[in-house]
Order: sequence, then structure tokens, then C-alpha cells
Amino acid sequence: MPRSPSGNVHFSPRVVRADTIKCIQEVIRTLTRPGWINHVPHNYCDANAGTIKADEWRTLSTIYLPIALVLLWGEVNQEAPVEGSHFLKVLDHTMALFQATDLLCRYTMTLARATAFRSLLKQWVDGLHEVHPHTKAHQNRTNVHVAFHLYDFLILFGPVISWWCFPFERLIGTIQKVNTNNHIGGMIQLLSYFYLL
Amino acid sequence: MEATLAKSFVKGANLRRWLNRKDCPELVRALKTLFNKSFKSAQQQLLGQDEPQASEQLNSYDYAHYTYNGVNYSRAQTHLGNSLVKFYPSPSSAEVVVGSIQRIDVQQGHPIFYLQRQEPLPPHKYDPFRRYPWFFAKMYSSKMSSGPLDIVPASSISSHVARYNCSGDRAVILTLSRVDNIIILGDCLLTSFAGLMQQ
Repeated sequence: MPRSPSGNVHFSPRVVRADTIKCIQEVIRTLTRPGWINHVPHNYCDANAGTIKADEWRTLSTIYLPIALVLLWGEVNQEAPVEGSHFLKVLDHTMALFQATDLLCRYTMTLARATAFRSLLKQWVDGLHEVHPHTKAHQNRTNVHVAFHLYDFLILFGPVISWWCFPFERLIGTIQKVNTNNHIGGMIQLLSYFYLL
Repeated sequence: MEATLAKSFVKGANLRRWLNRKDCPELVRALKTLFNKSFKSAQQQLLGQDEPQASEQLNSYDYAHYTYNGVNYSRAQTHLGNSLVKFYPSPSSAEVVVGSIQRIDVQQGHPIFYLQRQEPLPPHKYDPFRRYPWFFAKMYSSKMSSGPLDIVPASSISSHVARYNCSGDRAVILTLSRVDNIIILGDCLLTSFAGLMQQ
């Protein structure tokens, strides 16, 4: 349980329960999608699902998680929920991050989109302590600050696809697969392998 | 070793950049033609050979799937996920509708899709996704329209969609296009990769 510097334990109502996880897994399993959507572990959240990689997080947070969570928390018996209810607050807060991710990953970028991304990210950061009080005890991380600078990069360089690091991740993956037998060197064979890709 | 690999990777990227430029030297272009003759690129394997060749003798062909602009569309019977699309029902219509491809015909080299529409959500039902304007999902009815099929050319297809059938005869339709839904405000459009990317 996280503790504040004064030693007080923060109790926050549990938001994600076993049935939430079940619902997310159900969406992952039964959503009808075209073949080019990358796979994510169908047993997401289980211990043996493995670590979720960056690309899987992208697919999860732009397709599966928003659908599952909006259906779970965004309506009560297929009717609009009461404004101000705890789950709606949590949903609005989470959806701000998902919408920001979705906007950021688009292949076209406009000033309106970049601005919307920044304000959604701000909405998420601002609401963090209120919606999830236990995060008050956490140390501030630099990632959040860096995320705001993505707005500047969007304006300077355009859509993230032209400057994100997935191509280099792929290059690393290729290099990792090269069989070296733990010998350092052997450049010629390696290079010929690399060129044949 | 890593430095050499990274260097050749960057050199390859630079070469591609030259080829995309208008002021690319003739020599580089000539080399590209020669290179393409000797090595088959992954792109060609993906696009060129899968694309069905239109035959002069027969007027119309029925296909299980068809690759258009690098995107593989199937009929519902073959792959339901690849058949769910957003499309313009007529060339002049500004509104897109959601449907499932039932049949693909290639008539004299031009692909024609036959689509069954997804019924819209009845007005008295609640759509929880309306709350989130930047998440492009919408509730529809889970029923398919029993009306006549829409017949449109492949160019009228806007993008693939994902569908999740949920309780109360409803279906969530999520637009999967990563380029459309664009709001162009004067000169605000920074860069468009629409032509380069599939979706």
C-alpha cells in the first residue's frame, strides 16, 4: 500500500476488478477486426500473458481498452450514467489519455489535433491526483513532462510515424536475431545477412 | 559491428529520401531501375502479384478477396473482419455508412463491391461513445439492413472498421482509418502521409 511522506496509508476504492479484466479479455477475443490489426495477448492481465510491448500497448489503448471500459463504466443498464459518479469520473479521466494516444498515433497531423492532444494530456495529468489519490505518494516522473513536448515535435516534424522509434526497434530485433556464436567480429557474414533482408 | 549496421541502415534511408525528391539525379534513378530488375522487393510481392489480372475474354469475375491500394478486402463469407468497411454509398454523397462486403466482382479490371449496410442505432437508445469526440467509435444496431445491397467501386471505400456486438442488440463500430476524420483549418495541415500509408 503506498504511503505518503507523513506515513499515512492512502485507501482508494478498487476500480479494476476481476470482472473488468474478464470484460477486456472478452472484447479482445470477440472483436471482429481486419487482418492487419496486430495481435495482443487474448489473456491480457494474466500472469502468463507476458510483458506487453510498446506496439501492443498502442493497439490495446486505441482499440480494445476504450471499447471495453466505455461499455463497462459509460452506461448503466444501457442508459446514461449519473453525472459525477465515481466510475464516470475514472472513465473520463482514462479516456482523456486514450484519446490523446489515438490522436498522437494518427498518420496525419493538424494544428487542431496537436492542440487537442496537449489539452487531453493536461486533463489526464491534472486529474491524476483527484481520481487516483494514491498517486500523490508517487514521485513525479520526467516521462510526463517529456510527453508534453511531443506537442512541439508534432508541429516541428509532423505525424509521429515519420520520427517514432519503431523502425529502430525493428533494426534491433534484426540484429538480435543474428547468430554470432558469442564471437565478436565476423562482420562480413553479418553484413551479407543484413543486406539480404 | 553495430556501427556498421546502423551506418548502412542510415545510408539506405538517405538513398530512399533521394529517390523521393524531385531533384533526384538521373544516375540514382537509373540505378533504381536496374536494382528493381535484379531484386524483387517485398512491396512487389505484397501488391503486384496478389492483384488479380483482368482478363479480356470474360467480362466479370467473382473474387473471395481483393487487394486495393495495398489493403486486402474480403467478402464476409471469407473473412468477416476484412469485409467490414466504411464507404460512400454514391460518388456525390458526403456521408459515410458502415457495411459488410458480400460480393466482390471485377468487371473489366475494375473492382466492384456489393455491400450490406449495418442498421443505425434506434434513436431512443443511448450511445456512450458520443461523450468522447476524439475516439472515433459509434454505436450501431447489431442488425444488418435487409434492403438491397449497395453497389460501389473500390474507390468509394473509406476504411476498414472493427465491430463489437454488445448487449441490447447493439454493435460498437470503431473506424480504423488513421488518416481520415481530418479537420483541415486553412494551412494547418502539417504533413499528410495519406498517399504513403495504407490506412
